[in-house]
Amino acid sequence: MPPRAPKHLPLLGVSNDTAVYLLYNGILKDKSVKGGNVLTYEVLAGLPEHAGPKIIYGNGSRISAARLRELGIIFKQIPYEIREM
Amino acid sequence: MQLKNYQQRSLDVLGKYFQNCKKFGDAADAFYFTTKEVEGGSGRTYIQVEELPGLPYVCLRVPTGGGKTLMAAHSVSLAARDFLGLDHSFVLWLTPSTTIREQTLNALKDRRHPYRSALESTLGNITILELGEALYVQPATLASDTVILVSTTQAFRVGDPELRKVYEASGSLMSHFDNVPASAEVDRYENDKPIPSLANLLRLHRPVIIVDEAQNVRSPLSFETLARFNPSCILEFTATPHREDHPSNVLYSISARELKAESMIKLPLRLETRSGWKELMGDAILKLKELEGLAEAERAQTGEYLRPIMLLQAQPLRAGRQTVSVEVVEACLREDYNIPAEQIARATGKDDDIADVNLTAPDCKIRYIITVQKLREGWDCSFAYVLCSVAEQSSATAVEQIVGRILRMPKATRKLTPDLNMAYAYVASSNFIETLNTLTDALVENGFQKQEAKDLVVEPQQKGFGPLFDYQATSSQVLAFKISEPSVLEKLPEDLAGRLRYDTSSQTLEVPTDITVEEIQAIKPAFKGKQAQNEFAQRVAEAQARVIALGLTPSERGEPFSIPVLACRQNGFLAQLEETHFLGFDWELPKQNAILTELEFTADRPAPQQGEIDVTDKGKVESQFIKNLKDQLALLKVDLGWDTSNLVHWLDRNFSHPDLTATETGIYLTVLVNNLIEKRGIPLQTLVREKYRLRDAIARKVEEYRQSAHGQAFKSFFDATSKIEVTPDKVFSFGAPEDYPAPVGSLYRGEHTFKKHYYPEVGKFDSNEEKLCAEYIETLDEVEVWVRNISNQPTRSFWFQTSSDRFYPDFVCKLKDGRYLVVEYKGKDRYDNPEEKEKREIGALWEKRSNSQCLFIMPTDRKYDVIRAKVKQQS
Repeated sequence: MPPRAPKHLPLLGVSNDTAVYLLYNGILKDKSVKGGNVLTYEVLAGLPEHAGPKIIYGNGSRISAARLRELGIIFKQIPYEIREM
Repeated sequence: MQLKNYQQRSLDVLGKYFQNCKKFGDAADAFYFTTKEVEGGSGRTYIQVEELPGLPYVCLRVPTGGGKTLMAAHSVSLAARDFLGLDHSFVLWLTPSTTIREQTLNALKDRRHPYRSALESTLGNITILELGEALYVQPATLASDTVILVSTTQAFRVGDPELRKVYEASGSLMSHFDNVPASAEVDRYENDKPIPSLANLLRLHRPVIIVDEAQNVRSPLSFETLARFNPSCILEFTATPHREDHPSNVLYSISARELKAESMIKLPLRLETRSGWKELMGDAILKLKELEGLAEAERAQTGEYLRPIMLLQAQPLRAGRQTVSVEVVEACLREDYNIPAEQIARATGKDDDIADVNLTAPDCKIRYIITVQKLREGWDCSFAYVLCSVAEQSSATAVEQIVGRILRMPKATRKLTPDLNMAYAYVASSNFIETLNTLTDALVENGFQKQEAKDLVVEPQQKGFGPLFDYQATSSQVLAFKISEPSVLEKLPEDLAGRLRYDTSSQTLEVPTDITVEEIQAIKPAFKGKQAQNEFAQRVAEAQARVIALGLTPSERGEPFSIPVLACRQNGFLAQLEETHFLGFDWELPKQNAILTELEFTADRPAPQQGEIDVTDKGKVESQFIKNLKDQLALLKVDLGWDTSNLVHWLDRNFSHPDLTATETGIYLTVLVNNLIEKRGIPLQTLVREKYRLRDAIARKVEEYRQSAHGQAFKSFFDATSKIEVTPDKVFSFGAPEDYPAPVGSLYRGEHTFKKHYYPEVGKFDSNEEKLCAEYIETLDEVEVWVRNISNQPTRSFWFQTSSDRFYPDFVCKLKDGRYLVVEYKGKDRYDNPEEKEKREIGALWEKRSNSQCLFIMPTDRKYDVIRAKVKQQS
């Protein structure tokens, strides 16, 4: 894992062409109902761009599994998919 | 590593099979109903394993390059969780050879390897063991981890020395046998005490057996031996299912087309034959250098490093005879073609230069690998693009062994340069047809369907034709004739003679069908008698007529086919209407009345549904298998001493709910579990013991709420004010011919007369009525072009979103007047089902919003005229 990015950026880093993001409250600057730690099209649009595959950690996703696959996104739901290294 | 579509689909079918095993309590019924549902026809019959009646023994058929080991890794959790209802199971993983065993062990033990990640992401703690290590495994490990014992199928055959270890009493295993119930089926001493052997340990735990089989290595499973370990199920992953002794029950087959559509393999395979092996090598080397140039250009564009490699198959040394041996080949490379020594490597029994070399490393210089019989088992390098076989083929099996090695696609991604998406075979032979057949057979051995294989080997481009005419090559045929006047051939003009092939020993002349009338006349005298001569001319004419009729399909000519989809404008984004649009609607799990009724969950385990009732004694034994399995596994369950929050925690983690946050589900589950305890009086212990069933019931309940919310969202789209649009701004475009994912059972060129079909292949029909529907569409004047739309291919097929799923209509057509017609045929028996009604509603909505550009019709009961009526209707 690359060194931690500054706290206020959702993009944690890029490794082997895959970008890793962490969603947290406040990404949409408090405009959305759920605060931004649930993945939706709006939240996705607000993330820094990356052309290759993406891994996004968040509390939930309201983008369907099928659509995520088509977009090349692997969604990992907190806390279930955090593994001890 | 994300699974490819076809891998996910196969695993879904396997999951469905296990669900059905639970539902019907019978492996045969489950197989019948699963195949029936998936294939849409009548279900297939299950063939029992004699030694283990009632045992689920199923196979997923995956061609070479399909990633079956990754799939096998994913299947373990399906077996453990969906079938056995166990957190931790004992798995026996069988490989076809010791080499592959070592490879598998290394991969599974490596925490960064995709196979390992697949296991960990689906199972939790894993312990990987080989036979020697298994003799020391501790009870604590079995209680906390999924234990996978990797061995070879040979090791479990009677008479194998390794097998003795398995049956011997071992002091280090004694602690496993402290509490074995009297009823357990284990080997015992005279005093009834269980023997502390590995065999007994396996028996106690009802192992899941995974058989990861390689092509060409047909090691028959010794069911007799395996039966003694009391397996709970046997899952086979292979390219070539067994057909005779203990035939495999193939649950699902993957076609080569699907693999190609997902860029897993390099196809088509270009075949060139020549008699002179030195010239042949020259051609092959030219091709390799050409590919190298293309690879560099590719690297400049995509950054991907690729060094095309040639596999050369030499002849074995033979006493007293000169053969084109490894030495001879290497000498030829170095002296005649000036290939530097550092680029050449040998991979034979004697010299293995590539043993520990990383061939894909950028600093590796190897481009030519010379071998004889076969490469080391399990050897694979996706950089291998060219196969050059100098051994004159009299026995076919040699090429078979190697051809599979050049099929895998580097990095499983399509290259920009088309030539880098195929493989090339150069074979020394004077008989192209025979070699073609050999290669086709070799592909069949690698798991491709025979008809597919025929289509996937092409001749090199004819002079003067560009890349578009690749497919033309497969449609031209070569005919073989026995002639009586061979001297005539010597008098033929040179360029014609060059296109003919004549075998002196069998007096067979091979003639390509693309010869002119004058050329036919010139060849005629080679036949004796007017009748033979006319027959010859006639046969060629017939073949030519067929070839002309085939021609090129619109997809091959590069003509586009795009059709507007049902789209939704939300928050300024116009996107195809899809599940995400439902998920966007807020819905919540009800916290007030969170409970499961008696109907939804019973404290006592329910009796399974009756499927087919088999009255014979044998049938009784078979249908008892699963029940006995469950009973025995129940004995293994350890009292976990959980409290409510432990149970809630486990439930929460064990069903998938990405659209609901952990907070929401945590609250809901806590209320629900407490309600089950207090309002329904089910003790916590019972809930813990039945936690898998409980989880299933909860997952179903949550899905019900989800579907209900989706249903409401869905209904709202039909309001006149909804932002549903059907415009040329959002279309689906059908892909190139190689992207059409024709499944197993599709019709290949030459097998059908659908001239208006967009692709050369026509995807298989689910019923005869559907086929008749296709024929009707084909003959409809107004139809310009149509596609047999393939299900479950979201990026390659046209689909609509329903309230619960995606619906892939059977046929998508473009009319001559520019409008679109979508046809879904439905049998009379299902036409009135609510799902079909919903499909009609969606079709109608699509039609309505399209401003008369789009038409949707669902014919039934063989009444196809409704299609014409639809087309004729004006807005």
